[in-house]
Amino acid sequence: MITRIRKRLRTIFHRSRYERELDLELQFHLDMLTAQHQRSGLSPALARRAALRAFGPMAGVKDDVRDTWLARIVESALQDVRYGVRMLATAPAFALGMILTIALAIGVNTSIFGIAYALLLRPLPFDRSADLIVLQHGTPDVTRITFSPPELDDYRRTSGFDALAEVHSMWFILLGTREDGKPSLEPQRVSTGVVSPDYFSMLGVRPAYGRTLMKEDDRPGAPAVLLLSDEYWRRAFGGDPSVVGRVFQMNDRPHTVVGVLPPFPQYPEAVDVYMPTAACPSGVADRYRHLRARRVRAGQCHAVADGCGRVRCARSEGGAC
Amino acid sequence: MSRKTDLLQGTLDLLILRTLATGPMHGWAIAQRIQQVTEDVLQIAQGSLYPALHRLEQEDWIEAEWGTSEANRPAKFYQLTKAGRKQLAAEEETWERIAGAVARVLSQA
Repeated sequence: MITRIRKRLRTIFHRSRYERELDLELQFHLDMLTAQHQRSGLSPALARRAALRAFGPMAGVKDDVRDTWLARIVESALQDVRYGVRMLATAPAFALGMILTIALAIGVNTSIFGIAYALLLRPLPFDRSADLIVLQHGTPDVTRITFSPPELDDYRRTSGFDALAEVHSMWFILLGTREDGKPSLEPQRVSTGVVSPDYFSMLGVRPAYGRTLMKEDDRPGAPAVLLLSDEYWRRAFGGDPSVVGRVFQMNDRPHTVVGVLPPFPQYPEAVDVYMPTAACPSGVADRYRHLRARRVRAGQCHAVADGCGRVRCARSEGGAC
Repeated sequence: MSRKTDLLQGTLDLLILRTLATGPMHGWAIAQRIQQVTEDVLQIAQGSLYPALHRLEQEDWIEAEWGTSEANRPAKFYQLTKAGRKQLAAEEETWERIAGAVARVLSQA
């Protein structure tokens, strides 16, 4: 039985050898036929022609031989299937249990793989997503210390990264305005991603409407701009593209909506709107306080940097900050 | 020339198996042998012979080995396997039964 199977497999996997041997075998026959004709008095050339004529179409013979190889392979496969079905039919309850078990196992496997694929394997829908890393720094006892702007500049200058974008999030109150500048919407509390302007170009996220952020948006004193996330845009504005260009009051300044983002996996959390780092109300000068705060914190308090320059003591012991 | 044999279905297999019962032989020799023994009554067309040989080989009734022909050329020699001998015995018996039956019908008419 094993040798039979091996022989069948050989016909499949050593096909070229089988073809060569068939050629040789038929060639031998043809030569013998030619020799026979020569012995009966024909010249070598005529004998050859006569042999070829007697042999008939060579390609046809080869096809028929190949058919016998294929027929056996198909036949034994069918035999295996029939045998399997017969065996299962002799014990239907066992077979049913087996089939259900296997079906269940396959189903579970498939869904677990689906989850693992989505969580671990599927690449993020970003440009060069394999090259993206999340940069964090800390000390042995304090992890995830937020970055100060000078530190970010240091990393930009010395790390050799192609791009380094900054992101943190805050809550702000958004006030709609009418033509005359008076508030018109109910005030809304919006989670806000504060990002450096290259954040979207680095990820390759292109706007659904309007534009994303530009370098000019991040200059101190630049007109304040907002981007809406897809989810917030649909929820708050019913997916109306004309929201681009509208002005809202936020942090006592007019903010112009310059674009709407497509749906994309937001990191590190989904937010309602985005603004450039320069527009963060605490101002650039304040952002340097990070450095000082970090030094203070080292001794006495468990500090939580809110990422926008201010540091507060989460569990202050003596209020030393 | 027709590639199909005019022999009764299965007869060619029987002839090949019976011929090989005398010893290993290559395809050409098998055809010659059958032609000689039947005094040219049965001529085996190559178009039937080689597909049949390969089919019998796939059935494991015969096995092939490359050897050297009388003319000192490499040739594929076939020989009966154990299963092939059993098959030959069975087919001989079947043939005798059919031939006998046909003969009885003919003698009656």
